[in-house]
Amino acid sequence: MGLQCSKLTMCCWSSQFNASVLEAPDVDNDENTEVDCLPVFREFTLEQLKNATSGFAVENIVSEHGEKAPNVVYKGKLENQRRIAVKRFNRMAWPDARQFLEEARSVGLLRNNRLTNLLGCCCEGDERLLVAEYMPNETLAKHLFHWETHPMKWAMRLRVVLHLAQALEYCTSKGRALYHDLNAYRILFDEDGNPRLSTFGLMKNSRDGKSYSTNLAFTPPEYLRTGRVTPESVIYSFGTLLLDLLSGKHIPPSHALDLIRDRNLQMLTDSCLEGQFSDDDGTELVRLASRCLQYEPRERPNPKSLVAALTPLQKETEAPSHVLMGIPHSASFTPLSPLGEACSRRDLTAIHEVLEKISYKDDEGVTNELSFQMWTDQMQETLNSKKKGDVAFRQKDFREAIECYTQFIDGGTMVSPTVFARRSLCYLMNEMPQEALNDAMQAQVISPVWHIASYLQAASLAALGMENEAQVALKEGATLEAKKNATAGHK
Amino acid sequence: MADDKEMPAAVVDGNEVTGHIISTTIGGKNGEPKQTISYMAERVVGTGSFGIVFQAKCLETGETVAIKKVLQDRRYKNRELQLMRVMDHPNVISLKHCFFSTTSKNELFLNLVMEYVPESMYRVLKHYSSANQRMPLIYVKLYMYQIFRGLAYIHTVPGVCHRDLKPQNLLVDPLTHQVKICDFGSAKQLINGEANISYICSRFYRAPELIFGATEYTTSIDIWSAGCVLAELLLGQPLFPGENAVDQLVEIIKVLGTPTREEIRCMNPNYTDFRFPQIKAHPWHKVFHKRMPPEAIDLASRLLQYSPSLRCTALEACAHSFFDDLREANARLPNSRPLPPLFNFKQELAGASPELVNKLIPDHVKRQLGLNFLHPPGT
Repeated sequence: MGLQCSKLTMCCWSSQFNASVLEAPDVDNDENTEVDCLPVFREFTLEQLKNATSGFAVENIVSEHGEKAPNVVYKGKLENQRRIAVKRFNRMAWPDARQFLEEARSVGLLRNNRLTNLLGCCCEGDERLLVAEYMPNETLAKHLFHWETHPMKWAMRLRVVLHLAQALEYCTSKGRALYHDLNAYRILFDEDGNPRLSTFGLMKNSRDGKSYSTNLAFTPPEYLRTGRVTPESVIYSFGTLLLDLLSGKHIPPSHALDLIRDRNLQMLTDSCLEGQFSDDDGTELVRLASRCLQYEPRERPNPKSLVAALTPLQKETEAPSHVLMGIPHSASFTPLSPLGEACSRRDLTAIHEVLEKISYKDDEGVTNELSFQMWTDQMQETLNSKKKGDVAFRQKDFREAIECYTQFIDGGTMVSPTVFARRSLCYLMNEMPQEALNDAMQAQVISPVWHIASYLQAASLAALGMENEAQVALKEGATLEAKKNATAGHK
Repeated sequence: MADDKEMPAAVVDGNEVTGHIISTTIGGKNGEPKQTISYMAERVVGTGSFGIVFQAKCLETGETVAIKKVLQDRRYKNRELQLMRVMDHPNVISLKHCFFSTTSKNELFLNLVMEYVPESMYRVLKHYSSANQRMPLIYVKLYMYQIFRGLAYIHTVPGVCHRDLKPQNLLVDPLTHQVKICDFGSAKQLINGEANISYICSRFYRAPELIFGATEYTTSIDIWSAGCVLAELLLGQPLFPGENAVDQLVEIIKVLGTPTREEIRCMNPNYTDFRFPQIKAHPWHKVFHKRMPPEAIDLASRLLQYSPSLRCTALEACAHSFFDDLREANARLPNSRPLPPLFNFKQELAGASPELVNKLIPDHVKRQLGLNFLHPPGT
């Protein structure tokens, strides 16, 4: 559905890399001046998004509440290696497909580096999905309210509100001022640690086209009166976010206003911020918050004046966000495991050694039940071809191994991520990086959080000359491996 | 009320109270004439780990009273008695008299004779829910206002924390709609910097800092409980119906969201385990039914905050706009009888800001006071 009309603009991805992309990519560098390297909005098939998320695997859920939530967000990866976030709506959310498409297309026109840009959507049967840029560094709620190692610095908090104001200013300038449920979970951090506003919140769904329900803990007063949210309601929510950043806690806005009126800032302020800002800074932010939280919607400031008020308050503007946030940046890399190291050096012999050593133990829990099929001839044949492949692999006869493993895979009676990984390495050995990449991807589809799959993707991408993408995959492999080791340590 | 030092003792056999007559003497010192008072026990109205409460009739005056009978440890003073003796407020149950009784097994019992109020908030709530109705908002306002006034008094004047506020411990006079806080069996004067036990308060009404094991809590735990009562009067059922101690926290998190690091620090700085699932706060307006007045939602959200120091004080709660209707000059009960006394403040206003006092005393009452001042009685 919809593929005939959508164009895939790929300025980052070379066109050789279209193994299974269904349409020929059109390289077009003239557009997207606001954001580099971002394709225009397109429609995806359900199949593509299924593949991207390993069949909507539970392991790929990134939204809170897990699979029980009405709308679930998955992380995923497109065939061109672009990492994506996929929001899957519940059946009832968008009964009218046309309305959904119109809304998504309209939001998809926005392109700004203060947003997690909407890359596409999918509308097949009952399914309604949105695809946006993936943000690897979690939400503002996590960093502000539920931090693990250190609280968020004052300078970073100021940067978050400025970026947010700029995002709102951009959306307003493009006629999309109405943001839905602006809260600390709607702000995500990109790989550089910069805060961005989720575009999912720009999708509005309404039965009568006027009123929208809201899930904000503290609702703008006009919503309780009229049941409607307006662009001014968004500014009210911006005010509650200012309170969040100042206090580190959930405080009813009416109560915060009383404290501000009584000059009781001490009571309001996050204890983690002690000594980090002057009274003047605090007062200025509090004054802005109380303007945003005005009872009368028309007395609240507009996004433009928010940007103007927040710009002079900025601190440590030279420091990159990832430094302020204390999150590892792709440039500064955490030490790699021997396997990660081997992949980054593209030391195929070393990779081969590791794969030999781990044998098939990572297939546990993936492989099929054999008890019954074991005795059929077909099964025996399949197992034989795997065995032969394993012997050839051990003896480094990679051409022979490819042949045997291909027989095994084409037989189709069993699914083994390890076989795909091994064949991938064989392809690399034979200088067939595109095939190697396909197999590494396939291994990940079967086993969504397997670090070996990511590592082999990294090696394949590097062989394809896609250094940046290789780095991303390598980092992902390292992260997955660390996670796996941590869980193994707990057992 | 009985004299401080020595109390008369009456000997009563066993625990079967109903139908028994207990006689005791009061006075007889400082030249006062001795006087015999006899109580006819009528029925048990409450039992618990503390002992029993029964309804009784004073044979001399015909007055109905409630007698709380608790086993008395001879080594200690009874804290409940000490507290009840100093308290005097229209929204706090008053002690009329007290005496010791012994049994043939030589057990010593303390009998607290208190004014009798026929209904409890628990029973009133049950009445509405069994009729599938919600309590009319005017009663919610009237009852909650009086609860806060009672709390303002006990928190500020004797400086006592009730520590077990719940519908069962809130008595309601069905005719006058006057509310009285009762059962000071868990109450304590909290002293800054001194540790207190955290295993107090009934489950649904327990403040989160108690669940987090805090020992340096404040009277704001009563404010939390009052917030739970407010929500229950508005909803017709408990807001946080936890099935056990841990589940109680889960119920709170379902509404307020996971407490933030800062909020956990405010509740119990010694708490270091932060592994909670991240749950978003439920919208306050969706907690209650549609058309709930915003003032009711606002008050509930201000009372039910994780950070104890952010919860408003009882007196601030009284001044909240949710109670503005009660301050109207022409405010009446639905049967057009007058409201019970709501503005006869005394010592509890000491320490309140002029703005707060101004808000608490309605203009029509101010005018009345002013008038009385200009024309003292007898001129």
